[in-house]
Amino acid sequence: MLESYAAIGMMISTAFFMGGSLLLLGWLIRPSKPSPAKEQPYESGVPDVRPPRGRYTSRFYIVALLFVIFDIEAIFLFPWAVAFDQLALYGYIQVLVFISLLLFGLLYEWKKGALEWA
Amino acid sequence: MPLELVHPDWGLIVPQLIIVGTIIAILTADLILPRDKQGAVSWIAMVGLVASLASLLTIDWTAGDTTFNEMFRADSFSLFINIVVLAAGVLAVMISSSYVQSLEERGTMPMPEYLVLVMFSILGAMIVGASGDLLILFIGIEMGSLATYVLTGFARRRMTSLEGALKYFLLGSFSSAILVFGMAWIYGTTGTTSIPEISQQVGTIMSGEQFPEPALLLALLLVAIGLAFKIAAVPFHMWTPDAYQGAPTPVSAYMSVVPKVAGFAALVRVLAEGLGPLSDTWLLLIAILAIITMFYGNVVAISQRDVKRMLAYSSIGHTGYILVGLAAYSNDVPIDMSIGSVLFYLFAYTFMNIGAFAVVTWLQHRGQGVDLDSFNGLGVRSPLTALAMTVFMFSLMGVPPLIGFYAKYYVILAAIEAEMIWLAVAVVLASAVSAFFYLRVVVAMYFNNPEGEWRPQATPLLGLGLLIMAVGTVALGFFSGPVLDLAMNWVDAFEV
Repeated sequence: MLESYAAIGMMISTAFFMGGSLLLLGWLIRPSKPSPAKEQPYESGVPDVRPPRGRYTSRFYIVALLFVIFDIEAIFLFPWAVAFDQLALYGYIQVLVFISLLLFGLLYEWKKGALEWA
Repeated sequence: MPLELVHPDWGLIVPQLIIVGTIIAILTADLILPRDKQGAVSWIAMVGLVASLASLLTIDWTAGDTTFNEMFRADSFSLFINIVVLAAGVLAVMISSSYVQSLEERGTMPMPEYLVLVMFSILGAMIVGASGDLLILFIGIEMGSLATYVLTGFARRRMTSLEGALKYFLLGSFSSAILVFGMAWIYGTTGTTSIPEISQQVGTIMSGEQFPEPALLLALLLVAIGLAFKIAAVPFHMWTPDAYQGAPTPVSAYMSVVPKVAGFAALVRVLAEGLGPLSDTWLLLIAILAIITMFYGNVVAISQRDVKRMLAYSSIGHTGYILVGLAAYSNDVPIDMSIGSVLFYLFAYTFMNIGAFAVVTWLQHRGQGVDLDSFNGLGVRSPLTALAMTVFMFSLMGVPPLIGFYAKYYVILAAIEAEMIWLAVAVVLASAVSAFFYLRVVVAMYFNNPEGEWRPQATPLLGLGLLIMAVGTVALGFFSGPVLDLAMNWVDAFEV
């Protein structure tokens, strides 16, 4: 019983050993000369213009939310498409109901102005 | 070759489907109607709720049919939960529509969004009542809770509302995590999430054992704690006063009832049904929780001047009384009062508690605050409203022949039948304490002089709601027999 976990245990200890030894090696041989310029957050090589923890517009959140909704639609549609001929009419109607609910959601957010980038 | 698809029995979920349809109708109306006509959506919500109530008649509840692979059950227990939740929904819409449109929070509370959230919360509670599986139960609880968090913070320009919502949200999601953890332990021990199968498995594990399995005890503890948060039992009540005080008053009325009903439905489904064979262990736990809760709620309510906060502590006290009914559950006697008294209490509580908050709403419409002084001289200014508030206060106190008396009577009867006399005595003592702060409102209404400005205003729908609740509190007290019979049908639902 316990032997069957031996492989996992060896795997974990090897991973810890490799990671740890590389970190230790790096810490031992690298030169350490900090300067103010080096401490700055790296932003594509350009000098940073804003504090990194600034506020950003919540429009991204709406876009992300819309993306998730349609992502879920795709996740449900793929298996249905694969098994289309086996699910027959009943499955077809169910998917139609599902899509029309999402379509209603799209109309709602369109009318409410969630798709405007103004 | 076509797959063998299991066709769910759609007929059994008609009440829930009607609510879903109503939500879509409200959202459509939100898109079509101009902004100044959106008050009409409250009628759509009312029609939907009443249609859902009527559709309960189309289902044969005694058969105990299940659908969606036994995940969804239509039994007498879910029938009663549906009735309570839908009635609370109708009353909540009645008392809130004028508040949302006209009060100080004018413009910040869009009516359609408000109603959609209320309907989602109702749908969640209905799903909890009908759940035959831990997963469905959890989905129902979360659906209800998430909507209620948003409703608490619906007056989004008022800091107290946001503060209450944040506290409710953080503690609520924390308790959900504990609940799921407990469910995971149940699954780990029994290998199933179906509640009837859990009952069988636990029975097998328990048979011949002197002491229950430690993993099961841990699961029991975690689930009980998670659900105690939802029903606001002491010591898991910390969010309650702030959330009830901060929320818009009709929302306080609503969330003091429906999420609590959902919490109790879940507690009964999981503890009494799923972990029924373990009842020797959890009965004492629930009994102790009941005593702490009822005394803490009622004693702390004495020192409150803010009526909404006072009612929040009083609702904690009532949680304690209802828990007494659950603590009287017995696994041996198939016909006992326990769960029946819990259900009856929830029904009675719906009328009297929403009623008390509705009177506060009524006063706010007339330029009054929410502290005790706003009730001064109400008996002179509006004798009918004062009479309604007196009925609600007496009913919450437990004065015969009002419905609140019968609710307490059945709970006490259940405790005595279960040979827990000390629990029955505790209920009586706690009720005696509660008389102080309920009567103080009545004294303020009839013996103090009116003060402050008074803005007469017509609120027909709110007035009608008050009338229904006051008449219901009196009449259902006189005719409590049929309601109790309906509540006692839970025995058919549970295969003890």
